[in-house]
Parts: sequence; C-alpha cells; structure tokens
Amino acid sequence: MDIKIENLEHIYMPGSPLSHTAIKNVNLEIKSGSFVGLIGHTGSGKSTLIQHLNGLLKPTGGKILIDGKCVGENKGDLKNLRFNVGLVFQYPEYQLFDETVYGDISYGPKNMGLSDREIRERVYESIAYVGLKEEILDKSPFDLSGGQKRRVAIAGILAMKPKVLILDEPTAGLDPKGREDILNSISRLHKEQKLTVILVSHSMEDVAKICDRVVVMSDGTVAMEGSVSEIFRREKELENLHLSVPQITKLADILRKKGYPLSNDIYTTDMAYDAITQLMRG
Amino acid sequence: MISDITLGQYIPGNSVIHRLDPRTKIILTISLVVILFIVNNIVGYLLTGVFIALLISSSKIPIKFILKSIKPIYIFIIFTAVLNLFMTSGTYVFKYGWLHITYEGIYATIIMALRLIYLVAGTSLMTYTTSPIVLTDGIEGLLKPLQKLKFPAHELAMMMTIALRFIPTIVEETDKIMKAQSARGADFDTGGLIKKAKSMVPLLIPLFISSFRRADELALAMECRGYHGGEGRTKLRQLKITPLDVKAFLVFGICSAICIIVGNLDFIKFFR
Repeated sequence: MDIKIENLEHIYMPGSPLSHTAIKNVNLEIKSGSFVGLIGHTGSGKSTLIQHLNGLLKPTGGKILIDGKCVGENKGDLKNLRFNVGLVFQYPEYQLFDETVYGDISYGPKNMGLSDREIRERVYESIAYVGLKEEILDKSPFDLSGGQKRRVAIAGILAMKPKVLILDEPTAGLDPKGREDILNSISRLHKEQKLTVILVSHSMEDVAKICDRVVVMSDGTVAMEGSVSEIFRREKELENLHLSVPQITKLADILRKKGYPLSNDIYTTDMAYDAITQLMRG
Repeated sequence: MISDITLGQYIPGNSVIHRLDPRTKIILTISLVVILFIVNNIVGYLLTGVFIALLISSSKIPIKFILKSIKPIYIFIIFTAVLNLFMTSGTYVFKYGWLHITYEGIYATIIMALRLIYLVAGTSLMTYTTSPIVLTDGIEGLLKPLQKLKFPAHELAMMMTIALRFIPTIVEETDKIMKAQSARGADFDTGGLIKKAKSMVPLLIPLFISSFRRADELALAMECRGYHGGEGRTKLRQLKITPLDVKAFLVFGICSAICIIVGNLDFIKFFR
C-alpha cells in the first residue's frame, strides 16, 4: 500500500486556550514494501503522525492518501483501514485483556468477522512469527514475562494480516535479547511478506540496522528524509535536532581521523566489522 | 463526556471567596444546604436566591460556569418536578382522568426546583473556588477532632487527594487504551446496550490492571520517602482562620437568619 501524506496538519484542542499544533506541513510519500525508520526527539510529532495513518486521529488540515484513497472520507472504510494498517502502540502489553493469550491475539481477527478456522490459523501463524511457542496460547497473558507480553501484543496486530505495520518504539524497556528478537521478527516479516513497515525509534543503531529509509521529524514537521546513508551522513544537522548518528559511525569517524582509511558509510557493527577486517587483511 | 463534569473543577482566582479558609467554606456550604431545607416559602427562596447570587458575584466566577454545573442535573430536576407536579393533592387546577395538577403541586414544584438548583450552585461555588488539594486539607482539618475516636481523618484525606490526583492520569490512560483497541478494530460507539457493555471489557480490564500496578508503585514510592501515616506529619500549607473568615461567618449568619425567618413566616405561606 502506497501512503501519501499531503500538507498534513494536526492541532490538538483547536480554538481553545490549550490549543497546540502537533504537526504541520507534513509531506511524505511511503512506497509499498519499504521499511521506514521514523526518528525525532520527544514531542516532535512522531506519535501524532502515525495515529493519522490508520484514522485514529483526523487531520485538522491536509490529507492522507492510502492507495490513492483519502483517509476518513467515509466511516465504513475506516474500520477496514485499521485492519490494513496495523498500529502497535508504545508499551502494547498494557492493552492485553483476555484470559488467554489465544483470546487476546484473536481479538483483532474476531472484530474482522473471520471464521473460527481462519482465526485459528492466523493466531498460530502470528505466534510463530513473533517467535513464541504454541504452549503459551493457553496461558494467561498476565503470567508472561515483559518481553513475551510485548510479543503477544504484536502478534495481536499481526493476526489481522495488515499490509502496513507501524510500530511505536517496539523495543522500549526490553533487555538486549528481547530487543534483538523483536527486531529480527519485524525484519523477517518485512522480507517474507513484503510488508510496508514504519518503525518509530530512538535507537539510531536499530534504525541503521533494519530500515531502508529514514524520516527525521522535528517540531512537528519533516526535517529530513532519505536513505539510511543519506541521513546518517549529516551528523551535524542531526545533532542540531537533538539526535545523533549510530555510535559505531562515531567510532569510524574517530578511526578515520586517526588516519585509518575507512569508508564514510559505516552505520552498523556488521559494516564496521567488514571494513575493519578488510583493512587488517589489506 | 468526561469534560462535562464540572464538580471538582477549580477556577483559580483571588476573590474574597477564594481567600477564605477551606474549613470555613466547607462549614458554610453545609450550613447553606441545611438552610435550603429549613426555608419553607417562596419569598424565603427568592431571598436565598439573592443571597447565593451575591456570593457568586463576589467570587468572580463567571455565571457561565455556574450554569454549566447545573446542566448535568437537569434530568433530575425535571424528574422531581414532574413527580411533584402530578402527585401532590390539593385544589385542582386541571384534572383529566387520574392526571391532575394542583396549586399545591405547582408551588411544591417551583420550590423543589429552586432547592435543587441552589444546592448545586452553592456546592459548585465551593469546588470552583477551592483547589481539590486545599479542599481535602480542609476536610482533614475538620475531621481531626474525630481522630481521638480512632477515626482515620488523615488516611481519608490522603485517599481523596490520591483519587483526585489520578483522575487526569486515568483519563489519559483510557484514551490510550481506547485508541490501542480501536487499532484492533474495537468499536465502542455502535450496537445495543449489551454489545456496548461487552465492548467495554477490552478497555476496562487493562485499565484496572494498570490502576493496580500504579497503586502498588505509588505505595512503594511513598514508603521509600518515609511515609508512615499521618502521625507527626507537618503540612506545607498551614490552615489559618483569619479575620476574613470571622467576617464571613458573621455575614453568612446574619443573611441566613433573615432567610430562615422570612422563609418560615406563616402569612407568606399561600397554601397548606
């Protein structure tokens, strides 16, 4: 699904003394099948922006076209849109409610009005995708560990088989293993199911590692947009926006300044590893 | 919906009423409620109305807000009015089958409606001019003498403070969970009563769980900061009765005496 955002603007509580412009002049195009990292400091409008993509918030100005169709034009489409654009909120484990993991994951598909068999298939499929075992399905979601809960919540969105998956800081507050697992699942989904993914993150390392494109938001508007290397080459500008480049890029910079001929395009530890081993051999 | 609740909404200001000690305001508000039930005739009510209007104008609270506070109870007013209008026996004005309206009924209706309106206007004047925290301080202060009888005054006040403090947090949380479940296709608006009630489950359960979690964390945080109940605890804001409070008591006493006397003069009673 192609997403096109034109002149999007959102004002919270317009016309009241508390009115606050969260985003303005947002123009963005996200091609079907791309993996976009959305970065920006706290309060830059990332969360407001993503809530527009599945119609949870209505624009106060501008519009969003998904596959050429304007979001929010008629109410019947809205529900369908939400099944097509899966949105995983921050700390999604806090929205778990059912007695069993199975029940919770099947909530979305049930709302879609699918048959029991179809729901069952989808639950098993999505639980496998997030790397959980089937035994877990009969347990109460409240007995699970933090990382497992998070994965159950993500599976709840995946079970709707959305074409676009949006995740708001899916790895916040998890241990390194948990982060790794979740990022790997997302990456695999993107590759295998040609899912369009939008990942909101504060971790430049994660974004560099798994995204193709990066959108940088600042003060409610898109400050930069481009491929991973296009964005992380602009270290100074990023720092002005209270952001940064991956730490490994900084390390490569230091090494380069010390006279080691490393390339300009090092954003992940794997890239650094390759470059350094080549240098040592070479 | 939530923004319609005006009770407990504080409007900052520096009027005479704002500056009164919260204990004074609580006692006088309770007295006002009592007076509203002692006054017994229409002239008394009109007089009380003038008195309340004067109080409102001296508080500098826009009349708009007072009217807003009366709005949620209009159904209640209409309900009692209808009951009074048709159920009171006496001299008939109108009769059709079992349906009848009497002079006494009309009279009782007006008095009851005024009583309810004054009640809400008077009490919301207190909550408009007193911040919730100060109000609970006032309640604690008033209940303190009962502590000798093992009444948990401090604990009660602390509970109220915490409850008030967490209202905005829970509103925010509700909004967040509603959005999260909507993203999974939840529908909170359509359907019949049973369907609507059922659709609330995915909202209420996470809300309860997070409230319990929050209570747990708060208790721990309070203990970490050495909280161990009210004993020996000092206050940031000391409550003090000032000459202003004494004056308020005097003015209130005189005005209410007039209202009560006029409100019970027999010759003004048109009926009964």
